Amino acid sequence: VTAEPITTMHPLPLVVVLVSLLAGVAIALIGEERQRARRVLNLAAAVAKLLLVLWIALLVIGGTVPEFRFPLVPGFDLVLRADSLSLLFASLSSVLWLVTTVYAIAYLERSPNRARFFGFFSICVTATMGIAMAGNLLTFFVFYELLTLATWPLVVHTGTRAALRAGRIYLQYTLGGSTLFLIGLIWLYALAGPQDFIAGGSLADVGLAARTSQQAIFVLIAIGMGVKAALVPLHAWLPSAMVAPAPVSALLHAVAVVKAGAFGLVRLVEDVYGSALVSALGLGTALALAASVTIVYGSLLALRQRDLKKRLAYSTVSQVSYIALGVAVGGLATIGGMVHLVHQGVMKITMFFCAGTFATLLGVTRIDQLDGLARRLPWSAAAFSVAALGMIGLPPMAGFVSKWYLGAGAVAAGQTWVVAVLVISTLLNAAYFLPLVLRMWLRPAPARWPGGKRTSRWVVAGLVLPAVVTAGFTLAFGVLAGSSYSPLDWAIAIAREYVR
Amino acid sequence: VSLVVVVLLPLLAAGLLPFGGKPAVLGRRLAAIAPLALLLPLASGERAAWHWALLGIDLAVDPWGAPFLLLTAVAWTLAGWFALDRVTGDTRRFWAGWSLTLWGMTLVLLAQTLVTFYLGYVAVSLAAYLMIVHARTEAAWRAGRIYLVLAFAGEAAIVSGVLILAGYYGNVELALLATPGFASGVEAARWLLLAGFAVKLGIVPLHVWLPLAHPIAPVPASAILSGVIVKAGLLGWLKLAPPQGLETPAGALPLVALGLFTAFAGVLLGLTQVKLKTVLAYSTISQMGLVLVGFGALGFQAGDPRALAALGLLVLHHGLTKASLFLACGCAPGASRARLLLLALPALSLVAAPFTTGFLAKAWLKRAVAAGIELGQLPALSYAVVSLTSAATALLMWHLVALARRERHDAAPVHAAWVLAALAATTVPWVWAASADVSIVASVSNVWAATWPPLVAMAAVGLARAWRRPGPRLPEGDIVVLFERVAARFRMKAAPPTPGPARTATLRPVLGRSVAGIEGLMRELPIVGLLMLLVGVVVWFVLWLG
Repeated sequence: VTAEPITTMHPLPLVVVLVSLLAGVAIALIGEERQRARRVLNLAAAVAKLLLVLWIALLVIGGTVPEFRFPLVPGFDLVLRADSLSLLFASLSSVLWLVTTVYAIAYLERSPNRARFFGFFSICVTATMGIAMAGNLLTFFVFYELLTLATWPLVVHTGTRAALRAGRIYLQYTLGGSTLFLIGLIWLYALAGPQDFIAGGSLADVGLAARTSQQAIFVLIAIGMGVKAALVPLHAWLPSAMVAPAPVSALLHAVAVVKAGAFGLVRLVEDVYGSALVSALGLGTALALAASVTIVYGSLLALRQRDLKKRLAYSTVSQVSYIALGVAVGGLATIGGMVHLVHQGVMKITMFFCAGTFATLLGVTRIDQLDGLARRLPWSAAAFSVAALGMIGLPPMAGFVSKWYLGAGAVAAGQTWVVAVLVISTLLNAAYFLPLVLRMWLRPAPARWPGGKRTSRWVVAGLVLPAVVTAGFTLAFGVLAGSSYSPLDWAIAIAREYVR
Repeated sequence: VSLVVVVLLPLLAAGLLPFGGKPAVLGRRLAAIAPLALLLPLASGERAAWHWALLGIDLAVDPWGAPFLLLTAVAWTLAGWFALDRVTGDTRRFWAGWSLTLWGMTLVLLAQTLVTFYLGYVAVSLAAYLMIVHARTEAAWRAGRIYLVLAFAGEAAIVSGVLILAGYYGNVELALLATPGFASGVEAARWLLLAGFAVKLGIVPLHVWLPLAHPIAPVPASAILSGVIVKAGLLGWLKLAPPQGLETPAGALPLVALGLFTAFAGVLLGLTQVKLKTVLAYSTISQMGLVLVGFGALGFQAGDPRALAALGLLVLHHGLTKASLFLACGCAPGASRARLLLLALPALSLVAAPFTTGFLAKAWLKRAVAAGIELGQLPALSYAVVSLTSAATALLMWHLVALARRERHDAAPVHAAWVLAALAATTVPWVWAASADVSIVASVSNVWAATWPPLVAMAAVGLARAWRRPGPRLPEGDIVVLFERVAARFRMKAAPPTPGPARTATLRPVLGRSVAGIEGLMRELPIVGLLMLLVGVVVWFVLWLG
């Protein structure tokens, strides 16, 4: 990223959003039966999107910020812009979407309603891209709501009573949050007029004049984001949404919904209010406290779960709040928060892929069934272990890099208490992830596995390989953290923009 | 190049293991001889920095690092040879643990930046677990569990200290921490790090895992755990919390006192044990107490370039001696007179009998303590107390040899690695000391100073025999049993206990139940709404006040 990025009108951000939307519509149109065509369409769209994001990345590295803008109603523009923070999220979601598509194709082999599933799957990614590229809060809101609606059919995909119930809870929470978000948005526009996201915050001009209103608006919008980011006490929808199929959980936890909330918090703090204003209003400490409570509480609950996916779900509650904690503390910790956006994504998606694989191939869903699993599925077990060690924050995995910047940043910012939160979280993470790893590798395997279905070699490969790839990312993002264009390098570049 | 080789070799060995068959055999052999590669950087003295790796990996041999490298190369290779011939069972996981521990130890030895050290230390701590639970018995799982709990407790302190250092200095070059006055303002980090690394050294009362974990591992693994890996903790102290960085030697007195306490406590607890390897594990604890004394006393010798070399000498002496004693345990040391002699020789060295390597190391330790007394930082009594630790060690070694004689019918054959280790233990420290200018001249006074403590011990043994009272017996790991009982009480109403490594968190059910209650409430939407309102009001109030 060079010195002064120049914003230019460019259709690319729109194209990148539309690619998956068109793919989604096309998949819905070609119907249930044409499996091969659907596969080709799915993969082609994913690859195309990845290439487009790469193209944008090259533009941004070259110093141009492509932007697409058109008036929704006079005075209110829909803005899609690819700044470096957008790219961080967009590249994460486009890479993981491709991997998840491969996984989902294998996972849903011969199950009903695949056209519907993949249709909404694509629309869901459209919304995620829109959120990544949103150039102002209104655009963000539009795609945020699209995401809520597009994920609902995925959560209830199996159509069971439990799934429908989970879907209902999901809608209650997210729509409730959205209402508050909308109120906050309108209030904000009334106070400061429509503003684009800008490094350092657009509210800085309003200053401290309307202190109380500013605080109230922040709290309202933060609650709207906090629902999706699963901040305690707004998190209860997430564990119950675990009834969804594994690829959906993977996407929900690593890329789309939870991440969108966390990303929204980053935008709110850095681009709407600006770090300085947030701390001047005393909101930074409040957000950091909320995030800390979530981190510890989520981990305590994770420790209690006996069901593998449930444990992973509560761990997400905990881990995603690292991001909020980072931006709330500010300074170097912001880098830790932003980079965790990517790191948590690759680690958690690996674990969900593996959990799905264990359930599909061996019928293993509970933690006490994991014994000796590495003997049957060594690659999956290795991938899971890498991700688990990363979650604990042990070097050389990606999670360590996040923890390092969060902790060091907090100390540098004079908020040493954050280190205690991180250490408690580390211990709890170790307590609920390490036993799983040890079980898989060291305990004897049972004579019979609980269940699972026999499948072709291709399906097994489709289930195992994506996890191996994302585990590779987990390792690489840690080991190569210091090299150019690593997520860390990128996050540092973004943070530099905000300091300027 | 030599640094690349030395770092990659253990990883390569570990990478070959999963393939089974011939590659695995090659991997095992490679893992066994890989420690010898550590002599390469010692000879070449080069430095390698990879800024793209992690947050900046930087490797070099410290100016005082030679005895540590020498110890690792010699002891680890001999133990590896022993392990190639004697370790059975799940060899794949054992050797994976072996090579990854070696990899971590290599990084710890050569680390020049904070991240490098931490990476190596974590690898050592985690990979050692694989060797500890190798036997897969109930006792091994228990030892492993307690090891992990203590290791992560240490880890918590270490990572706090590391993050605080990182907050002040980033991925700091470790040599800077030893410059006087540099690390002022991070006292908290210093104490956290001292406490965290003390777990690895088994400083009382953080020692409880050591007498369980060291003996339960296979013989060669015990040898490196007790001989070499404990020194990772000392390296942590020396590199991350060096006393040379302080402007005054304040704070040295509690360290020296704790060290002396550990030295005696280790012996007393060891005397209550009946297994050879457990006695040796307690002896390690006791000796690490002396290492702590030496470390604390570094602060008194600020201007003395030989102070660190003298401490290195203590490390080299103890490491080789302890490795040979542990290897003896796998060779039926009580089966013949020759074997008993081979056991007794390093044992005498540990007692610091005249002309042994212990004699040499102890003389330097006493000199360091004397420096402290001269400065008025230590009470004059401490000199005599340090001398008395030799008497205490003599008691423990007497106990060891007596136990070994009782196990006369052990059928294990002698392994050449043991003989070589005993030889190395008696010679290598002298040779190195001569080359590093830390040898001493035997005079009447220092020979006498090394003679009377064992004589005192002899007298004590004689008295105890006349008394004819059987000594008390304590369970291995002593006070850990109390903790386990408390933990069991918390665990009672939880699900039926599952054997194996799953039980780590002890407070889980109690905390869990209350948390689950809260969580049950939070699933109700109206309550969440009210809570949100409450949070809003509180936030509002706080902001309004601010």
